[in-house]
Amino acid sequence: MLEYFFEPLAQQHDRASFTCGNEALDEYFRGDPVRQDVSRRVTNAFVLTPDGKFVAGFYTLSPISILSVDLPASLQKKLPSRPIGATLIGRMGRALSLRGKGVGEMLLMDALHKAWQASKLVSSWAVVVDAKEGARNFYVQNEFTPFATRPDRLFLPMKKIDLLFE
Amino acid sequence: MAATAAPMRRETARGARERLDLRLRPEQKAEIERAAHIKGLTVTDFIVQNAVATARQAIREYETWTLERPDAEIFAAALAEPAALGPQLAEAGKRYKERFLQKPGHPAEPDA
Repeated sequence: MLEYFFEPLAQQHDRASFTCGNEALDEYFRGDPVRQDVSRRVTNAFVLTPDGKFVAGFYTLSPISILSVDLPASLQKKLPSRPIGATLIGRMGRALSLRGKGVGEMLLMDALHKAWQASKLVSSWAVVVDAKEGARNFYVQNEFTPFATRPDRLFLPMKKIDLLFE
Repeated sequence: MAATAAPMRRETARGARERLDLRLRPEQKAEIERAAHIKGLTVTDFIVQNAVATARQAIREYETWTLERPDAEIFAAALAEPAALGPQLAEAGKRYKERFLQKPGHPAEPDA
């Protein structure tokens, strides 16, 4: 495989010819939405590329705060009663032409690594992901836990990610 | 949130109103009219009350996601319990580190 590397999404990346097979995700990445989200600081976007142009895959990271209410007393003591910070992988897609090459794993690991690095500066309790249709199993295999009432949203505690990178 | 909501309410109280034109299918309109009638509201009041409530919820969800049971319990329990890595995730992490973090001067990881 070529020397792939990650970098923040920028003008020189060929967004227009990117396709991951999911129409909504393609529209988001090829069109204005991703650019607007990044320029308005709603999300940060990162791409995996072999040459600084071709996009093998991308993902977005943004902050999310989570408030847990109505907890049993035993758990209440273990979490702050205020909202806690977490890191959201809002979107992730890999080029359809690179299916089965482990690109998804590289994207996820880089997202976890960046979330972990960021958590050393601004606290984050977990990485949360919104899985697109068909992608849920991929996250379950990588030890994400689905929420019960919203099974397409899954999370991985930062404590586990600490073990990956420390 | 409260700071931005307050001036909006004052402005409404002073009577300022704006228009919002929208198109919808006849059957959607008929259904809304029927529901407004059932609730004893004008169509405008019915639409505005419901749209504003949904909008507030969307904004609130974006800013803070509130978990109730059973999600809150699943989440809190996982964060509280001691962490251990399963073999698949550990292997994936190893592959990633070998490839992306152990190359001095690599463009993606200049400090690694």
